[in-house]
Amino acid sequence: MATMKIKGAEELYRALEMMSGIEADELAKRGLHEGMKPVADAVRSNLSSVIQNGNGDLLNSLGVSPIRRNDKGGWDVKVGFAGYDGRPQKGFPKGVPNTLKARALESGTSRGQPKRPFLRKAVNAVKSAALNNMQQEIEAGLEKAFKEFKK
Amino acid sequence: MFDELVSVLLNVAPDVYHYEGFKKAGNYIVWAEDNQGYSVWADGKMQNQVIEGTIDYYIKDEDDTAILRVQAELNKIDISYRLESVQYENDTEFIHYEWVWRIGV
Repeated sequence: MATMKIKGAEELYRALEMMSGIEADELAKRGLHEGMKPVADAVRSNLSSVIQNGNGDLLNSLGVSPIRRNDKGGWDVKVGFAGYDGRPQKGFPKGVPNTLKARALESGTSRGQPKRPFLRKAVNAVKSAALNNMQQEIEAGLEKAFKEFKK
Repeated sequence: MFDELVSVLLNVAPDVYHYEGFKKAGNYIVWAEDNQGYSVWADGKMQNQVIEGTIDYYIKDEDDTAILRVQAELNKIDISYRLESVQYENDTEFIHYEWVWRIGV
């Protein structure tokens, strides 16, 4: 029967144990930040190519949320739209929510807004790059922790 | 390339449009292909291309079971999908179901 030995796994395990909770959280957040960057850039680029006159407000409302702890103990970050378009109308005293306008653009409507998917296409295009960025950042952090352990 | 998809959608609703269709009175479907899904590359070239698109079904009746028929029809011809969103459009009173589908070509 074939056997396999993985060398260094015990040391890596101990190095990971040595990382404090705060260090691990900061590494996770840095990884998320690096992963979010290509996604935000792609969404912005796609949105720019599909919006027409009068929708500059929508582009300005696109942003990235703060990185927050989720209820499963992990960390989340979101790319999305905030605020209102500032043009009050029936049913929307503060103006139409930018999230609603973005959704109408992404999915189309029965009233006459043609479908212009920009968000899903952006995510499809950069998902690999985003995951790669996260992996590189986290691996670099783990490598540093491992080297500290070996000192 | 998408003949089977169109054919099954016509089993669900008589009015099926490609790319655009709006300001209709009754239930209707709009479908469109719009980008490449997660495809497979090997040996320096694409081995399996996946096309991704959407199906939008606009209905007036919240109890309409045709929603389930869309999914049953897609299952019959082995098209993978997910229900992307359900939106109520209050100005036209349509309930807008949106699925994302993927087909390997």
